[in-house]
Amino acid sequence: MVDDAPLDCSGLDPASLDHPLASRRRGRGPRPSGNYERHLEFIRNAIATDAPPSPELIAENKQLAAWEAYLGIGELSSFPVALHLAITDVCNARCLFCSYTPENATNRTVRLSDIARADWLKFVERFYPNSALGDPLVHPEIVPILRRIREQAPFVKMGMTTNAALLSNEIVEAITGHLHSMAVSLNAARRQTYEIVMAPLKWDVTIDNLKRLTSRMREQGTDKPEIQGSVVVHRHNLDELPEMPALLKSIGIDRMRVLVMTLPKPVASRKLYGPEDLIHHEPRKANRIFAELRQECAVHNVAIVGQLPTLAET
Amino acid sequence: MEVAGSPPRTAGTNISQEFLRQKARGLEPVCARPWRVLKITLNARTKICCDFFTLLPEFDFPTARDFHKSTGMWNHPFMQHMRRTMGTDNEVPFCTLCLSADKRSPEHLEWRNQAKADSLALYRQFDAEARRHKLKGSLESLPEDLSGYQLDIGGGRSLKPFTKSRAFYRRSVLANGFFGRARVLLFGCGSPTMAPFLAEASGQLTIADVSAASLRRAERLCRMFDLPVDPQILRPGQGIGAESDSYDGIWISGAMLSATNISDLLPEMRRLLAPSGTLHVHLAPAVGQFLRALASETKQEERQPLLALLRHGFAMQDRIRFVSRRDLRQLLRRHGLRLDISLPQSIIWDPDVQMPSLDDNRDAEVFQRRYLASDAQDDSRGKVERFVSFSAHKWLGPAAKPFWEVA
Repeated sequence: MVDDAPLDCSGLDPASLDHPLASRRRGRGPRPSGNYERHLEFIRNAIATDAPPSPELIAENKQLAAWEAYLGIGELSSFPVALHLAITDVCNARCLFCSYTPENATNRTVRLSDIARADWLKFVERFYPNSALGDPLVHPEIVPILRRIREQAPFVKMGMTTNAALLSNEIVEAITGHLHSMAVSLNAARRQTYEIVMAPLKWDVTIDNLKRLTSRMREQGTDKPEIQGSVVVHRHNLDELPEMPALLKSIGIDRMRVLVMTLPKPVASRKLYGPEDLIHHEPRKANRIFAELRQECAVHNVAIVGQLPTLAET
Repeated sequence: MEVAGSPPRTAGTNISQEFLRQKARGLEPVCARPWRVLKITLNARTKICCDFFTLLPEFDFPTARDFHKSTGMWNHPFMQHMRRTMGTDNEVPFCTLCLSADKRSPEHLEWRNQAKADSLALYRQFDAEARRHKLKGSLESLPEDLSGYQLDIGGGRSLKPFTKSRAFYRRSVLANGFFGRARVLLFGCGSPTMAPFLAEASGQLTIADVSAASLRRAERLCRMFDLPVDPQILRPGQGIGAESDSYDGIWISGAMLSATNISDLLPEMRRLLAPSGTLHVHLAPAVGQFLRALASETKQEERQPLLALLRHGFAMQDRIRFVSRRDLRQLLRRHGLRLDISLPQSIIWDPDVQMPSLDDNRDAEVFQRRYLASDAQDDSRGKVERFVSFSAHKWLGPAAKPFWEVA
């Protein structure tokens, strides 16, 4: 049994350990709870008997995945814990740090037969109907899609990343109390920066949409979706980062996350930010501003999701 | 594993943002994404994290029972390799970068590029191996470098159909979405190079050409590798005698664009393509070919017809002389096909072809406006495109129902 043995993995089929443990350079992280063989047996039985969706299926699959990662197993018996499925590749924003180009949008969609075959969705803990460079709210049938997934996998936690510019009343109704989390790409705390970085979106429209959503959540007495204000940080919005917590609080949002800009792939149709726009050129200043942001978050009671970046100052 | 040429690792905060939390807790960075995360793109290609070096194998939406087969994506040999070696000396180089340093830092740009290239080579190696077992015929019996292979074409003559490696041609078939298609048509066999590679990767390959000799050569080449094909000779003024929606993929030799009437060819191809089928035009002559001919033509009277064609541009002609990336979308849309813009058009640049000096100012202006100011020239290198390859799909139109409404 694996749960009591430190790393000897006794009781396992040696073939399932795909490499000699001695060759590892790094550790394998904290030991998962439970028992590998029991989780494995549970999932195999669930597949064989076509078990109905349940929170237990999700929990067992997550544990099995954790064990398989811990043991370094290559050929998995678990299903993905988190699934991101592109539903559209069209976006309504032209962010300066994003390689999205409308010329490259195909407007393809997922087929019903594909989804219908995916009976394993019931094992997935988190589902994100997102594509990397598109906004899910652009999809004309986003509301029926969300409903359909809820029917097929009722216990999955759905989340999405959006710029919220198309948050209509119908969508607000569909997600309030149902969607688990929503990361809103704000990327600025000031109108001028926002309308430059996220052109052609309008600051007032987005802020009004978010206020409408948080107001509806208050009316319904629900904390779903859990809204996170998201900022991709670069040189041009670094200074205003400490203003974000106050802004978010005024909208009714009490979580934020900060991502460091990744260098976008150049596109032909417009000029994007380049290496000179990375915050890595001013690590000392960036770290100071992150510290200020942390203080402001404490003042306004805004939680930081994940870890704030910290840059090497050497 | 240290990547050759990589800068020394800096301890402390010089780490990718994904692992800051673990670092803050005093833990060694550990990545569990290959076990936990699956990202599926609209093209059914996959990723495990946003900032990865390439798209991973196709996802075919299996059922729960088929999900873990090694022929599928989740347990694809590369995925298994990535998981097995994570944290070991044989780790995928991009994973090593991500787990060892701040992969977004400009300081590590060179390392990042190297890690991407090394990881991609590794991925291709695994992917080619996984696909090799699904290929038909005996092309595998040849050495990797095919440039020395000679095909006996009778009468004591022979030809060398290949100039590159086997992996190159197979990647070309794969990258253009022709791997595993049930019914494929190869239109134009003047150069028989692609015929065996399409045949080994397809359920049934039909080859068609106006020249009986070309057809015989292509058929002979395929049969040399135990690859049966269905040859069809084309008669002037007649289409291909097949029913509508007969092919899942049509591969057109670029030379056929200038040998046939475009107003007849593209509608016929559209008719033959099954819904969502792919049309690929391989190595169509581009403006560079034309400029080369123009530059080498010294007689003014001989240049006039060439200049006249350039002035009009290919899209105005029924018979295409050359293809420009700029006009492709318009041309295809006019014939009910949709340019595949998720695949960049493949260009062969010609460094020897430069803008010819023209006495006629109007012609020079036309050149500048129509071609050289467009993307027909790689400004940074002063080269002009010589061949263009591109793919298109049969336009389904806006009437396609969303998936939840289809029975």
